[in-house]
Amino acid sequence: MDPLEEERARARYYQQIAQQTGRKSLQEITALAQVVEEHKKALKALQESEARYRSLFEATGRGIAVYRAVDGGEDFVFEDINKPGERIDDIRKDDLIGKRVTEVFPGVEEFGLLAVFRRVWETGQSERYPVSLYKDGRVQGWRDNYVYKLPDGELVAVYEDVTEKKQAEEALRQKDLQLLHAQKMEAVGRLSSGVSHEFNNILTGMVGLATLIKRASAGQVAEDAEGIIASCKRAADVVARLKAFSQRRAAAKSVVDLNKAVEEFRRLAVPGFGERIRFELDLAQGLDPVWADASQIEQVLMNLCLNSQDALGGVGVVTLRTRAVSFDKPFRSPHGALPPGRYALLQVEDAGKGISPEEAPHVFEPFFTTKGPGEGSGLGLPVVYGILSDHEGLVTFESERGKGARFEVYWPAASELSRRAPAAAVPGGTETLLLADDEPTVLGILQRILEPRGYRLLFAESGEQAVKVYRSHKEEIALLVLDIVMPGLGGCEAHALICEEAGRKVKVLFMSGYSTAQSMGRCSECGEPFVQKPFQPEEVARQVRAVLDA
Amino acid sequence: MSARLLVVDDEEVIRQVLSRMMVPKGFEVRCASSAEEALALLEKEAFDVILLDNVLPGMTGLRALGEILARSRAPVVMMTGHFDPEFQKDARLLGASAFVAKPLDFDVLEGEIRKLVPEKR
Ligand SMILES: Nc1ncnc2c1ncn2[C@@H]1O[C@H](COP(=O)(O)OP(=O)(O)O)[C@@H](O)[C@H]1O
Repeated sequence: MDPLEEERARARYYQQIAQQTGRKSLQEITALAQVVEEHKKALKALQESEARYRSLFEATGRGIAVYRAVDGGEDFVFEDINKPGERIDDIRKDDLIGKRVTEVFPGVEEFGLLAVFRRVWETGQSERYPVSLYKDGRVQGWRDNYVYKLPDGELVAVYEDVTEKKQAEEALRQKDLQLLHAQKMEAVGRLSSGVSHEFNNILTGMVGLATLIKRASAGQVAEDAEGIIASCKRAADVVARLKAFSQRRAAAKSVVDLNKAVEEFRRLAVPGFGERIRFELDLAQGLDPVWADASQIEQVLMNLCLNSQDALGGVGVVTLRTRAVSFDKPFRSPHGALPPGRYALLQVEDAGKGISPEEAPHVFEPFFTTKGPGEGSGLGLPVVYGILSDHEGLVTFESERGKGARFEVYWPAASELSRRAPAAAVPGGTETLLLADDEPTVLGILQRILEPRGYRLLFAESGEQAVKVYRSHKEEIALLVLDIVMPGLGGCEAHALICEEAGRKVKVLFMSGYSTAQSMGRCSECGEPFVQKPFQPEEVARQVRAVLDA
Repeated sequence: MSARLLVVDDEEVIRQVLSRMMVPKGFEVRCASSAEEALALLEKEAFDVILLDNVLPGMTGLRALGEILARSRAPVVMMTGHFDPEFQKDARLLGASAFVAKPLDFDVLEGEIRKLVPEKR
């Protein structure tokens, strides 16, 4: 616009204002016009700043909601919310404006935030409401809130969704707990096996001295000596039980139907519980068979049911339940974790006295008992724990004081264990192997490990038989896998005879369930490789391959 | 001539109790507190029965058993802790003659010893 034109436009404008306001003086009008100009500029600046704040409001990662107090500061109505806020709570701004916070978020009072709103509104003091779990029928998650009051009385909540962070922290905490638990159990196991040897020696001394006193005396003194001997025998009994816990017997595992094991338990053991304890079985169809020692499953059932009986004060119902479960990510509990996969779950449930939060961390510790002297040994649950560790399973529980307890025992599916040791990880071969062990179950296990890897297998159930089988398959056999300890001809002797027969040294891998067999002198003396029972499948496969390739 | 017993145990009180218990029963008792000491004794003397603790300092029970059997023809009674079938199987295969559990029942022990030296008594 050219300056002249502009001048004219302004003059027209002033005239217009003069007409509307009834003021005549040009000075007056000019002054007024200036006020208007400034007002317009200020408005524009305000709009710009408003836009800037709006974009700030939206651009932050945090949720921001603005509220107006109603009911004298008892409740709050949504006036605004930013995009992150909509996203965090999965809600649209249009569905929310003008609504009460208690209506949109029915869990807000229980969550504890409503009280904070009321306080901030009343005092004007900002507050941080630390990370807590918000929950209602629609949304749920961990939230971190900061609440403050604007000068005009509006409330602002700035909040963050920390659910993922919280879950990661929780997983870490669980892992620490598990590690602590495992370390504790291991330490206790080592301690008890050491202590039991010491104790037996001490008790031998005491029994011996008491026996000498008894033999050298008569009457009351002899009787008292007899009393000492009897006490020592009781102490020895406790030590034996402790030892049974620390000494993990090599389990005789086979493919077991968990339901059958539970039914067998009912048939054989339940009558011993008396009439006032009723057992209810709830067995699921389609359970995966598990790879377990059946007698140890029974032991687990027995220990858990005895505890339920005690918790019920001898009267009530014990529910034995089985379920097929499958985890697609690691399953964590305070008592251990399980890798993803298929499991058969055994539950033993009672409505007895329950376990208090103070007792809970200790129930798997040896000698922890809440029962009276002579009633509880505190070794029932440690034994269960040990058995499940051996089975690569898990025992955990849920309980509330006064409301009963449910122990949950996870047994890995047999198919799962062979999968955990993928055949591809260790190369197999097509050689012929001669396996000898007097335990047919061991041969069965070896077959399951080695056959899928392509080996041809020949079996013998004694050292003598191994020599015989060798004679008739001399040319094919590339490797002997021999148990060291067999009745009659042991592994080492059988190996010597076979070498003699062959006129050369035949490759061999020895195995034994006795943990110090390596230091037994035999294998280390003849320098032949050795594998420890019970086997880790991949370890056996690896050793077999290594010896063949040596 | 009385039967000769060798007690191998690192626990002083057990050695003492065993000799005080067996001497009045007509045995001659010698003691060793370690496998090495026992082996040294076996180089010089002969025994009718050897009582061997299965946990000794410096050598596993099975190893000690093997070494002893390599130097002596006397039957060996293993004194073990709690009953452990794997261990017994291995020890029996190595040549142990009998097992008694600790804490010792001295009547049972005496019975086992007498079974092994019948012709001497
Ligand atoms: N089903 C259950 N209900 C309530 N408490 C239980 C249950 N099972 C175990 N407990 C608690 O765990 C403790 C340890 O159990 P356990 O190791 O079997 O030893 P014990 O039964 O000899 O006390 C018990 O003393 C009891 O306090």
